[in-house]
Amino acid sequence: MILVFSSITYALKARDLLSRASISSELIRSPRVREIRGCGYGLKLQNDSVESAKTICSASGIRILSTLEDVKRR
Amino acid sequence: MRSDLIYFDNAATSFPRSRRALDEMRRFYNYCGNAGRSGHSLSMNSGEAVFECRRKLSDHYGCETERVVFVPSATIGLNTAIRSLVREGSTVLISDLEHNAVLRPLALMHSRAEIKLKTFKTDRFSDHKTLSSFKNELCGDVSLVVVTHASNLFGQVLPIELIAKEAKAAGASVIIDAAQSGGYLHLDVDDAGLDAVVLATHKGIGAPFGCSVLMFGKNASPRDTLIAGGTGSASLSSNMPEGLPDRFEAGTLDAPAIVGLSYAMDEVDYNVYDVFSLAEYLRDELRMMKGVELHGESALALPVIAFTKDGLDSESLAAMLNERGVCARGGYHCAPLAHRAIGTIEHGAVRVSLGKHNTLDECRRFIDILNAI
Repeated sequence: MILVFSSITYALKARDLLSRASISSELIRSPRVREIRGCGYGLKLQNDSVESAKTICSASGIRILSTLEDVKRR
Repeated sequence: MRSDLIYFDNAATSFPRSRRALDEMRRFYNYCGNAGRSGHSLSMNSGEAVFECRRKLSDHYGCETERVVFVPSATIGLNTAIRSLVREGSTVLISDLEHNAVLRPLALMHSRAEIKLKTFKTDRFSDHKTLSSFKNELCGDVSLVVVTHASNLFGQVLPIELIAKEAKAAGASVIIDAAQSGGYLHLDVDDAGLDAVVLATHKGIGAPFGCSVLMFGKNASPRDTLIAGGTGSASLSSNMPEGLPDRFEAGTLDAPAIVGLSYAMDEVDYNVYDVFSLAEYLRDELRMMKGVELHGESALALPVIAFTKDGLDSESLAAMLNERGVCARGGYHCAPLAHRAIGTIEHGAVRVSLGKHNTLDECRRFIDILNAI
């Protein structure tokens, strides 16, 4: 799954927080989503970590703009 | 460059810079893309490096990571902070020591009738008197207070925490110009209740040019931006992004310089007693020197000293010092208010400003050189 943030700063801040909670994630450019009006950054993480990740981000005031299925690249 | 050069102009910019910072900056050019723009490894690498510096500054200065904004210079940072926090039609209050980086944007706004501008008097030896003077000018209409942490002309350190407390109680926003104090005096942005703090990182911190810092406090609500442009985010919108730091970081960041800053921050050491002791030694010697007058002596000051000699024009004296291998600055130091405050507005003064690389031997040689002029 991909969590989409409004900026690279928020994405990396979230990554640090998740890492401290032993949730690993990978920084990527986000696929286009309506909420970010074009470009943004996302964190790719395991599906079973998503809910915990959302809780952690919310508790730290980091807004997740969207959650996307990870589209496998050919 | 002469081998016996004495560099006493650290208030302008530090010399030499952090060796490690410069090496890392140069090395970074070998694999640096544009931070926060693309998804390939070079761009991501730059983005990570920029974030690492932001995080370091956030930890060091006690503000949220996303509220650390990189700006090309402290002047741009101060202009940005002022524009984003000022309320049109209100009064802005500044000290009588402010640099032109604060005075000029406000004077421009005042000339356009966008704000009213007032100054408060500072006392050289009594924070209590400075605070009293500040409180006397702090009327209900003041929406913004902009104060230097330390004078760029003679180093006096102002009681900014006390000033900020009074300002916040009166409902005003507070911007601190920490261009001179960065690297010498610690500040905690959120603990002190500050709305914005600007650092000139190429001075006391010893970072490369081009990566100064504007930090917004947690309760600040900055609005208008000074510059609008690409941010690598929300590209389909013709408005600047709402969130920090992107809202205030239009255009390409100087990632290599920011990497240099990151390494320079590792070397910041507030136990810099040597440089303060050297400054005291110089003040003592200058006080005893025939024909020399010290100006702006104060109870607490950075290692920055203003003096005149034998009625000599300050630029001429600085030129004579330069011929003898001493780098110092004469004239008005972009600080007309401060010169007026200490009585040197007519002829200016020579400023010597020490840094952490200066030595006792250099101070002694400087005294001999000045004595012989």
